Amino acid sequence: MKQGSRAARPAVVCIAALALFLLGAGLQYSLSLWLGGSTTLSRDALGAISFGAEGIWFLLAGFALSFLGKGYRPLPHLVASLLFGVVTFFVLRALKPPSFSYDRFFASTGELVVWALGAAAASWLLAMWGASCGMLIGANGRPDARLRYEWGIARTHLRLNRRSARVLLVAGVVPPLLLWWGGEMAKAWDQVRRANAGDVPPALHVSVRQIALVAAAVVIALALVLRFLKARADLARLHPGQRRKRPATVVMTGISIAGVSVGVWALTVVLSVMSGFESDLKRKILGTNSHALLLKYSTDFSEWRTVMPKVAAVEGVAGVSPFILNEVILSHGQTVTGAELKGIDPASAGSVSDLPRQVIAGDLQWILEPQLIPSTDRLVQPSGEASKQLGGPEYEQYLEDTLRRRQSHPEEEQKVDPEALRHLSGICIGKEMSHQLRAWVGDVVNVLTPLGEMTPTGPVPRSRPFRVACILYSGMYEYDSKFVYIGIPEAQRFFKMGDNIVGLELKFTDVDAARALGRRVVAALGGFPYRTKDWAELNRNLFSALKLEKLAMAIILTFIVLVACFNILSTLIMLVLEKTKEISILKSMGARDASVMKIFVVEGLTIGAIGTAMGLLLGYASCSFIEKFGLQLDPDVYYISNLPVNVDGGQFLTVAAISLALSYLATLYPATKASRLSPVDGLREE
Amino acid sequence: MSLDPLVEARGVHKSYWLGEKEIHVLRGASFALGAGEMASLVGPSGVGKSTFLHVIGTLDPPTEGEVLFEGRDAFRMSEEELSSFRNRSIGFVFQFHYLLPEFSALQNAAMPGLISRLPREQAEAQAREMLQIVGLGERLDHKPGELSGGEQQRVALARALVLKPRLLLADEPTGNLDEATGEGIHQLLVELNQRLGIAAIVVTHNPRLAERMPRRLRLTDGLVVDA
Repeated sequence: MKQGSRAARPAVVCIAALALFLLGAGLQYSLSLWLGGSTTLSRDALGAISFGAEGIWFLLAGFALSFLGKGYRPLPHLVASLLFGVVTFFVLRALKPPSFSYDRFFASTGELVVWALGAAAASWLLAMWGASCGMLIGANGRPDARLRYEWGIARTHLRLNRRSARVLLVAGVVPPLLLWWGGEMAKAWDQVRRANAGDVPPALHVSVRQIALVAAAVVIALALVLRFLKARADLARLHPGQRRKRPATVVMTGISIAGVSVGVWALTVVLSVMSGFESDLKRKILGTNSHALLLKYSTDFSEWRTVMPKVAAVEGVAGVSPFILNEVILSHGQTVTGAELKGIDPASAGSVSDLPRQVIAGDLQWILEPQLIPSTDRLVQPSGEASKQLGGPEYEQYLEDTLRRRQSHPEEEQKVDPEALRHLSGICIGKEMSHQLRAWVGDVVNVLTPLGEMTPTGPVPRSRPFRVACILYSGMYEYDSKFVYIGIPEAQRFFKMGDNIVGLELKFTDVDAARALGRRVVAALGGFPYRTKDWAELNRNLFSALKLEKLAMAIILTFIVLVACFNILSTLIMLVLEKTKEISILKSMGARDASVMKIFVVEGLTIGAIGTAMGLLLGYASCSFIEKFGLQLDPDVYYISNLPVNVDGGQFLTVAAISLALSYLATLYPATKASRLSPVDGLREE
Repeated sequence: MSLDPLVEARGVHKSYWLGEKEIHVLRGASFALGAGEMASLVGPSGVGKSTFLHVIGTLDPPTEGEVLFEGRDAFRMSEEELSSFRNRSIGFVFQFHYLLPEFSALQNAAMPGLISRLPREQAEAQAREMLQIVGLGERLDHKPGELSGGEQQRVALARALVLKPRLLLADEPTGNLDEATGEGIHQLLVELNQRLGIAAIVVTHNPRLAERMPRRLRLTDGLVVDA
């Protein structure tokens, strides 16, 4: 036997750690600079990627240093981390990062101190975390990552055998299956109801696959119950002394698994619903608005016809359309309402928004060809794409209010000469506005702009009649009650703008890169006086509120998982106490400290992994149930009829990673404790 | 046989703290055992026989003094070297069998082989062979709970010897067994010593069994003397 290489001195470990930490910080900084320059990633994504890379670097540094120092060496690491914090402080002071606070531009010294302390704490904790992985594979001697008898022993500690695996499988699979099936049934029932309402003979669509799955679930559940009863009966027949006692740790293991799965379940369901809200809102906002606006620092934008092809040629731009925007007042009969009048080009509007698909009745093209708008004696039926999404008592009421009213008061329209009407320009209005004004396709509405003529008696607002060409439904109350659309030439005449427009609407191939692509468009046009505003900027308050809410929910719910991991911690401590003798025997047979540590880490991770898997399955099934069952929301409050759910694979993976990482952390204390037990600790007891 | 004895203790002191009071168990015990030698160790209860065995077996470091294996100080080795040394060179048998209750006799006996990272087949083949030798060739798949006390102790013996260590340390291996069974285990120990050439120290309370050993040691006043 040769003597093993000795551990490095504390000063060496400390210097090496400091060097690695500084290298990691440099890596973060240069990575964010490089990615910021060469890709179109958002600032959040840049931060996430570069700081994520730095965190992994710190983990790896701790891992490598555990081999150098042949152990955790917390003190040299702590010194290195504090020095790292000091260096970070001075570097940050030199770099002058922007402040998080709104009342100053550069970060204050207090903020920098917090940053530096955060860097020091993060580097120490992550390095210790990495070192624990090093210790796990035997950093204090010859590394050995094998996991063979350790797994066998861990399995006996958890009582993980064929029977318990079957129980876990059934407990993990049957409830999600039932939930999923419940969702399918709800959907089928809804179809039947709709079919009945429409006087169409009902057809219940239940596929063979569904029946087979449910039958399988029921059979498995029944078999399990029978087996359980049989085992009970067998047990009762045994002599009391022969009964194998179930140790408390087995019950605690079950409770820990349940705890983790409940936490993961809650986290996935809530995050899916929150991102459902977010994506629903995003879909609706981007249905009416484009991804970005190209504006000019000037009122003169008469060169737009030459700019448009240049913008369309930029890589990443999927659509361009000109627009004019101004505030007006709309009136119909006795009703008056404020509105945003948007001049659009119907031909290209579809390339930047979903406007043509939001039509309930009429046609978007009619704003340019008003002679095609049917006269009021012919009732235009709802036939557009958006009308198919609508239904329910609310919508029926709206149609009744708007259409019946006109049938009962036809004389209002007949005062005007029908021939003169044919020459009025067309206007498209939102569903809510049409409800408010009681105006339907073919009706005449008056548009009033405060930008009027100067007369000897003072400024007089200009007003003009338009005929309603189509009714639009976007799903956003604000848009449906505020926006009205006319053709670009008509708007230019109405506002006396000459051949100017306000700006261009842009659509990109990648929504999330809108900001960077906007910069690219401006650069292609030669910069100033052009500028872009992306959708996130235009709706910043809404989305930042949503994001903050989601983050807060994620943090609160992560605490559930954290609590569940404390369950794992206490279960493992109980197990270590229960198995002290066994640990001693294993060590007397030559088991290494790292092997003993592995046994308990693997146990905790197994509990965490089973709980996480069950929670994810249950979460997925719950999401699909919510989606299919369609939990009703109050439409006046949310303007969404059902609770939206967005099942995002990445989100599920993140939840799983958080849960497993926390489980791992929970194992470290008991596992390290167990590995440091002296072999005689368990032998002396008797 | 090398010039150095297989195991040598030099001035071993061991003391425990019991609250405020220091209890000196070993006070400079010295002794040497040659390869293949077999000795019994007797002494009244609580005199420190188990402590002595733990120190010799590298489980517990002495407060003072050194333990040499073939001239090399055991407690200067790193944790990893010491583990691997214990795994390969020393076998323990205790008063209680301390078998892993969830594993079969074969799996229990194969454990030291698995710890030394032998392939499963090889570890189990060696365990099977050793269980044959201790006379349990027919009960490989029984769990400890399904074996009698004597059989359990035989499995423990097979487990201690499966990697053919140089030294076997037995701490009252028959203390929990009836006389006839204990006799059988002792007989087996002597046989194995002769057949495999493994050096052994057997702690016992039974003077009749101690008498039969080639060498007899006695622990008194913290010192080891030849009786």
